[in-house]
Amino acid sequence: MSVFASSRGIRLDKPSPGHRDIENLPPPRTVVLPMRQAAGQSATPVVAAGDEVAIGTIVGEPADAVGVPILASVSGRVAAVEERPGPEGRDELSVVIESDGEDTWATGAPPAVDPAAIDLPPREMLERIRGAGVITSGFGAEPSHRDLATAIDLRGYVGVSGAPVMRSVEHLIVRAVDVDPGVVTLDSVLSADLDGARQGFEVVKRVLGATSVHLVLDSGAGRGLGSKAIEDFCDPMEIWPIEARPWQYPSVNDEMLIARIAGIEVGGAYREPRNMGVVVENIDTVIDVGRAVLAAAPQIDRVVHITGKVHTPRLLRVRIGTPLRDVIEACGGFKGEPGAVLFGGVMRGRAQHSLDAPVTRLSGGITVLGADELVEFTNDPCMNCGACVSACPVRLRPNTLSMLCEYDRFEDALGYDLLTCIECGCCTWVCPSRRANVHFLLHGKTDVMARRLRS
Amino acid sequence: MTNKLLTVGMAPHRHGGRTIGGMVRMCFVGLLPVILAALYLYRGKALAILLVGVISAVAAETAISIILRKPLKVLDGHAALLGCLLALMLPAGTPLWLVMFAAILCIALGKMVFGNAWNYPFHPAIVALVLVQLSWPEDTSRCYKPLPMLGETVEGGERWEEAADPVAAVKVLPRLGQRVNVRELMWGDHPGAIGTTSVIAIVLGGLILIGLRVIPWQIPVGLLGSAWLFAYIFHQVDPAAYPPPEFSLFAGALMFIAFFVATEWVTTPTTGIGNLLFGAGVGVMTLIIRYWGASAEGAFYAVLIMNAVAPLLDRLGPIPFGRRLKANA
Repeated sequence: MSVFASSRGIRLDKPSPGHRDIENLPPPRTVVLPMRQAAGQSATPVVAAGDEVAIGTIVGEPADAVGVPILASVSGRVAAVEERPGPEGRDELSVVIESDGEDTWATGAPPAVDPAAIDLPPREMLERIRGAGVITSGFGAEPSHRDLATAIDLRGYVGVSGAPVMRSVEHLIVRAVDVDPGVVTLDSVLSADLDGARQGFEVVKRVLGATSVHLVLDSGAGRGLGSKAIEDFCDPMEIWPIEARPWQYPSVNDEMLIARIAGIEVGGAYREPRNMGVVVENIDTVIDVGRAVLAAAPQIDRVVHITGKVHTPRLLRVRIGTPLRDVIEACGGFKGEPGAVLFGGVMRGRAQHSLDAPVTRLSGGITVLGADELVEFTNDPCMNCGACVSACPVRLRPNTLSMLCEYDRFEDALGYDLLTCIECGCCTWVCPSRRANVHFLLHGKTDVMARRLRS
Repeated sequence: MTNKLLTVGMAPHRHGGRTIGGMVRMCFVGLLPVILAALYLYRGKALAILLVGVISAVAAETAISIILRKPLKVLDGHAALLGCLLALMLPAGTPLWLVMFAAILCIALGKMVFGNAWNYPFHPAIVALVLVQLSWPEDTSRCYKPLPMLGETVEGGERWEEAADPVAAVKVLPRLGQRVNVRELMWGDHPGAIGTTSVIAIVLGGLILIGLRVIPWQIPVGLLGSAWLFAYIFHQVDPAAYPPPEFSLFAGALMFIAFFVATEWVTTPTTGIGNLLFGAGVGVMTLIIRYWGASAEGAFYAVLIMNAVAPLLDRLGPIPFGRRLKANA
């Protein structure tokens, strides 16, 4: 099975094969742990300046049962609890820890793998996942124990408390290739830790009870593993390997993969894939989930691919909360005048205003763009060429939508299925009038969703 | 480490590289074979018409932009493109003052009246062409016999011989259409507008544009397919009254319209199915006007009519994601 057929979207440069070893970045002098790392409410700090913490110490307690605790990723002394630049551009309440360089664990030693834990009931597994503070990677991501939970929230009816709605998950789709083809984090994570991936798959399969499991792999030079290794990995566990072409952007996006593999088109803000029997996870989350369940290991680091205008682009395993500045220094600093620093790749990355922003679960890659690489969107009038209509992977009319949203006609835009937009950016990429179409659509979506939440 | 401020912008942070100016330049690349064919067939006369058309159009846009205090966008080449298209659709006998007038009309009444912002409902070059054709019918139908592309050149070839455009001739005497020399029609060895006769050059340029993805393939395919089918059916019904489909397609301006005019971005639908129907509409409408209408060449009016329908056709199109539940059903 392949993901070749889609002619929509755009074609980007293929990821180049190159140096793909993951190196460990030593713990930084200070880490900044924002209290809001996953979608939903932020956690409340439970430490104060001066407290001693070890790796795995809870520094932020979630506000409710669906939240996830924030764990210390280094050992040392809490320097401050204050507002710091967060990864989404806003200042976030953060716990700042000064590392003592000792890396002492709260539990005594780095925990060992306990194979018997695989027989735990899913409920306990989810509790372990939550306790380890595992957050699904990606922007706007949920805590993993929510993502993997089979029972969704109590559905309240008028005057009735409601019953938990059980859902059955048919397809588990695990992505070992990044949506943004400039970044190759996920593929490298899989090649570097096949054992961890194997455990992770076992755990996630059990938690979800998924009947068919798919592993999405790069089909080109961007893949680290040979086809023999893939076969050896997938066959015993009955995983379907799926060849994808990430440079055929956005063919490995959640929505596109679900349409190809499960044959379901999920569109609109309320049609979540997990309510339709499909769960899409990234391979690094799967590995972390496996370690959380089998070893009760807290999620303290993540792999990031630093690419673009730095002297030595590298794949680094960095502690969560490491400021961008340290990561970029570890790559030899900026090459030339830096223009923008993005969490993520060029197509979906979030530009950062401060190098103090910490690496969190949100950022799979760090892309540095030179000052000369920045593009200016002039937002000239639409010339109706239709390039965005034929590029849109979810078959919208970005031209009409962007004009409607530009003039704040959001209700009209809803009639053109505004909420189906997946914010891939293809319409902006192809636009000869240099309109920031996806920006206008996002503006509309944000406004509509905010108004719906209020009412 | 630098202390310079970082730029914060919305994703995507790169662009595919297309610009309006770039797309207009690609249109000129597609027009190049046609221009060369025009220069070969009509030599100095074609050169004069092209130069006057392009220069007047550019001058008109510059002047109007300055007078109306609009941003000067003449460098994107669009005015030059419109002037060039207009000139290519005029016959070699058109007086130059009329070419200039048409070009100014094209920019002023066709484009700038609707703002400097790519917002016109009808193709400006066609608007101008139709206006001057209706106002000066003799001056805009004075065709010459072109220099032969096949066979030997006549010595002292500057003696231009007036001749009738085959489409106009067939309008008067339908049986003329039965003696079709496809080879002559293909190479452009027949009287007509300077740029619309050489079918081979037009198809070559059109394929370049489709290959560069500047124009959608749906419009030429829909247009030529429907025109051929329509002409074929009527030719089968009454061969004496209706010319064969080869004639309908290759004579007159239909080929040029199919690749360079009906594919214009602003006045056409944006969706694939919309474009296909738009093309089909132009094709059928052209032949209806040619067979039963008052005008000899129906293609220009067909484009105007279909431009008016384009917003309606634009409503047909892809069903958004999730509107149908099964992706592959």
